[in-house]
Amino acid sequence: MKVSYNWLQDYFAESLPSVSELEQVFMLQALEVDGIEEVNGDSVIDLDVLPNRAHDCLGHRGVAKELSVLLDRKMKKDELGGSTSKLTELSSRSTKLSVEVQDQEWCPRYTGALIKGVKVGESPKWLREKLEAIGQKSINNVVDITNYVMFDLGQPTHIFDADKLTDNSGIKIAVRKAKRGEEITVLGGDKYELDDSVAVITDANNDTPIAIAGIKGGEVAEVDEDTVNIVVESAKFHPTKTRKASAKIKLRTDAVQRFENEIPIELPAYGVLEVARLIQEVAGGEVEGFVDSWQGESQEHKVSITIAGLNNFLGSDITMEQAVDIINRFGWEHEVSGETLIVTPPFERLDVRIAEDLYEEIGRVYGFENIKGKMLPSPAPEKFINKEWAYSELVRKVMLEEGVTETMTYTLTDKGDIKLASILSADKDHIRSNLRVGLSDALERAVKNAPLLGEYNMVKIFEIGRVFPKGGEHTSMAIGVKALTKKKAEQREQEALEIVRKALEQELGAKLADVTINNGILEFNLSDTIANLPTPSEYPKLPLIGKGVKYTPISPFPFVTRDIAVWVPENAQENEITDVIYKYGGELVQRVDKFDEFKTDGRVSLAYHIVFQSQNKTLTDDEVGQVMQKIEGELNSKENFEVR
Amino acid sequence: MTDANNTRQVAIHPITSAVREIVRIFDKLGFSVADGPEIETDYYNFEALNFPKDHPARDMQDTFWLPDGRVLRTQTSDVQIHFMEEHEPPIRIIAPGKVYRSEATDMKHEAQFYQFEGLVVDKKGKINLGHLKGIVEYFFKEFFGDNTEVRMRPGFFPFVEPALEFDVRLVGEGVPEKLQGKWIEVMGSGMVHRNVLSNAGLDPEKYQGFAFGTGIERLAMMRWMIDDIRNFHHGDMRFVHKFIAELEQVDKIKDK
Repeated sequence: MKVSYNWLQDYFAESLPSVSELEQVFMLQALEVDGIEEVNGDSVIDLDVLPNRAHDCLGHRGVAKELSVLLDRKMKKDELGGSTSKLTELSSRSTKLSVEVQDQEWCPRYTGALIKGVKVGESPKWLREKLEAIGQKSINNVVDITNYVMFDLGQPTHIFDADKLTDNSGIKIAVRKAKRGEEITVLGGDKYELDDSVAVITDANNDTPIAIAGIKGGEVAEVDEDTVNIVVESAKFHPTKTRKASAKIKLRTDAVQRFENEIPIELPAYGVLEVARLIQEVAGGEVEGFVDSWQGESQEHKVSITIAGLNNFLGSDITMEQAVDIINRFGWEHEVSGETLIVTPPFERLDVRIAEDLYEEIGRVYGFENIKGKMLPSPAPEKFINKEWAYSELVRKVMLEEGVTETMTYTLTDKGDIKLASILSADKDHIRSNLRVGLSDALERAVKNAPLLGEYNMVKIFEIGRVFPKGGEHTSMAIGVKALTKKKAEQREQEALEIVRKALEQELGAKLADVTINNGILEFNLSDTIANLPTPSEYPKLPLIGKGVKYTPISPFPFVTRDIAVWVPENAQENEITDVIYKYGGELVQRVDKFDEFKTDGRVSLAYHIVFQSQNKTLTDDEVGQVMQKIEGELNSKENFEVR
Repeated sequence: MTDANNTRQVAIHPITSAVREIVRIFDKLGFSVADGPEIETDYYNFEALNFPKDHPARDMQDTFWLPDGRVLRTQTSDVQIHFMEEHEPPIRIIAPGKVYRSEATDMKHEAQFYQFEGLVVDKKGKINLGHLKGIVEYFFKEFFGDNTEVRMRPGFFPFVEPALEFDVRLVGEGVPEKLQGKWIEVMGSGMVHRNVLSNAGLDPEKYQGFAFGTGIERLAMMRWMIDDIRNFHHGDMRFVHKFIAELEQVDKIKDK
């Protein structure tokens, strides 16, 4: 919901605090601020109004009311506040306009007005500026007023050109379900085919749809520059019916957003009166009379709390006096009876119905920062070990010992036993039935990057995760190995998998369940493997990522490897070599891995793989060659060191 | 010729490391680990959590639907219901696990990610919002360090009332410039809604509880300054190999 600072200011006599101060107030005590932008000398605050506050805060009036409470300032005007005596105007009934609601559930209330003699034209500056600030286009004074009222009070309204409706000893509006196949062209020219999950407003004298109920007006009775007489609609439509209808015909509007979140049954009356008042002000004309389909009476919803209940819930020390003071800032009716506070929230606060709702209202005005954090009371309930986590950690321990590294791949994939009904993209329209397909792809990519991983003999990776074959969801584990040199590759891979399998079975004390071995990947059903095992008494103590680890993004540029072998004296330290490599290689050195070491005649030969890679360019042979020359030069200059 | 450390370097997936650490932090506070299925019914994922059918609140979580009407769970909060159905309070659990959202992926959004959920339920009067705040502050200071500030502000999730958001801010030395002093939204929470307690078979007149939940990738991204969430599930070993654990710890494991 885009909120204009200037629009809010209209509600207050004194200047509001700065927009950044308002942002703080909204954030910490009411609604999240998604952004603020400057528009032609106004500041527009984008408030994230979620369903709990959509009944009252999808309009500037509701937001101004929030500010009045949080800043403790009186509003200078409030269309919804004060006495209800202004509603008596509604009882001045029209003699020319009538309404018949055929489906009360769809449309619990329909109010309307017939206004004669308006002059359609350009909107006054104040109106244009307000709408444009929040990103709405000005159309004409009459239509702009309906938008203004929607973004002010939260009540969507609509205007029909009365002379485009059939007058058969009066204009008659009806609300009914659409007929299957019934068509309507809405404002803007798009045509929609309807069915009985949608409701329509009709010109009842010829049974023609003139609007899609709660969604959008039709072209047939559109207001244009020649319009003189108008019918105003201000109604309440059923929240989920409107939501489903909108989804069905794939048409979402600002009106839908308000109806689907439910507007108060009282609101349409305020909406029609406000539209009538403003239209007469900016477009002239005179109200002939009103209609209202609602026969019911407003229900009060009293919410009762005790001060002890409040403090037990919030962990606060709020006194009755403070609580009453806060309720007074809201201006809500209340009574105190001993330790009990009974509050009657106003009609627009559909979200305040139970004690917890009132605790929240009092708590956020009191300030959550004033609630002190506490640790939980002792003793804690008896702890238990989660079997799946315990065994997952146990198998990870085996993997660490066996030099197998963990990875995670996508559950959403392009094949599997279950196809999703709603999909993101064609290559992610299934959920995986096994881990091996994803792991095989990860393995292939690991082979290409083996030197960057410090692997020269064999790449070994694993994944633990849920899979979803036909038989149902279970936790699977897969281990993939790939030899990096050709010699007896397949045999070495088989042996490696066999070693890992033995180590797992020994640690678990059980055979692995449902083992499959394919292309160097062993997969088994971890859930079934541990099903009959006892729950361990504690979790294995496995390492965390080291404190000093600094992440650098994966470089998109190719890496280059070089080997170096050096004779050193027997008492030399390894870092005498690696320090020199890092000194000249700097950030280009990704890894240094020792691959050979032997002693002879009182000397030691040490050999290293060095992997070079830049974060921002492709390294040339020359560049790497120059670095290697410097490294070799310095190593050769050390006493009794000799590059081989 | 001696090796200075006599140790071996191992790479740990950052999600595994983060979950392991989270489990340990909460273990000290008396929390146990619970879990639930990733394919979930509409009831456990939404209805029991006070998301009525066809309610706009469901728009807050773009959902992957299965042809049979079940869903890939959109939140680990489903574990709350499963656990309360089977256990009498007092309850203190955390539930780490994978969740799914049907949204376009980019550097900040991923269709699958990890969350963990925390749930505490006890007799009315024994625990309150102050405990929620205390636990969350404790957790973030343990996870991000003592130079972590935490603030609590109103939010909305149907299964809690009131709903609260927690933001954290890292201050002081050693904090990367990108994060220095900035409030970052990290956790949703609140007092368990009475409808949720009732749905799980607990009497809301007798019991009270709070719940909290957060995305594990988001915590990991802040912790290690990871720029792109898609790295976590991409199966690229170059990513995992950026996260090295002290090797002597591994030897200790072998000795055990």
